[in-house]
Amino acid sequence: MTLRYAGLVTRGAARILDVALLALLVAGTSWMVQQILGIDPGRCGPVREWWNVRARLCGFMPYAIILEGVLIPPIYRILFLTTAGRTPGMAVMGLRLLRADGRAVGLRQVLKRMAIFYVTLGFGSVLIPLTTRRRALHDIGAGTVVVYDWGDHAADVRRALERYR
Amino acid sequence: MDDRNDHGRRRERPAGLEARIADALVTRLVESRLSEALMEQIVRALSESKDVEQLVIHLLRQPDVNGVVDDLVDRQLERVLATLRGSAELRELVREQVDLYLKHLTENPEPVRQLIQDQSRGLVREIQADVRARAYVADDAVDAWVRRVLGRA
Repeated sequence: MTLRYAGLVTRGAARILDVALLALLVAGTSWMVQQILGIDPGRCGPVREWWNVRARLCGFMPYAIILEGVLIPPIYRILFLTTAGRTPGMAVMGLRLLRADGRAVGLRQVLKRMAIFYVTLGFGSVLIPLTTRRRALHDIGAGTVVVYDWGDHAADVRRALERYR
Repeated sequence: MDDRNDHGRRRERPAGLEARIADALVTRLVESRLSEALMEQIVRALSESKDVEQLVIHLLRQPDVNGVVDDLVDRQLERVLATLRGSAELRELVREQVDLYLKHLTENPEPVRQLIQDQSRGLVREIQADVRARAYVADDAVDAWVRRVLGRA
């Protein structure tokens, strides 16, 4: 593992990949729910009987997408960061989230980091090029760092790096 | 004058006979099993000899010799290729071989599939490494730019 702290561009690219994947996930989930339940949100009938769950769900679908958009991203981040120390976007870009002392992150750090990120709307990332360990505000608050981890591909990346230097 | 011609004729006769005898001897010698074995041994010794190999390499590296050899090879190659192109037997042989290979590939598609998968994986790996390297360089560039803007060292 290359213990070099990752910068703004790599981390930004990882986040963009994650957002794209999350958008697919949210859209895919709502599409799947509609397909499984046979709901068409454009043609919802009136709810006359209280036991008509499908009609009630149909009316709820526009809100369900918003709810998915709120719920799925945090679940996605918590799940991947606590189990693998990286989200799929971070894996593609060769990044890993660690505690400031180099140990693997736990649920507490991930929750704290995410909370600060949402509260600051991600603007804490402007600190990345300004701090010595390239830490954003949510990293400083949660006691984490993001490092390059190219795994088995390290030699390939170094070879590619020689072309750009 | 006549005396001199007569003397010359007398000398030619035994010389022609000698040549014929010598030719017959040489032919016998060359065609004999002993000489064949001997030649074979000489050729083998020469082909296995490091010194001869060095000498051939040295000669081939000489510009004059190299040019001559190249020319010779090119001419021979052209001739051989022209013959091969017009050969119906060769075409038939190639067709047979292609059919055989295709049959073999149809019966055993796994190595080809593996090869294609490996190639695709290698390509993805290369693109990923390239993206990572570009981002890595861009990270440093952004840091340097920010430091410059803020007037930090």
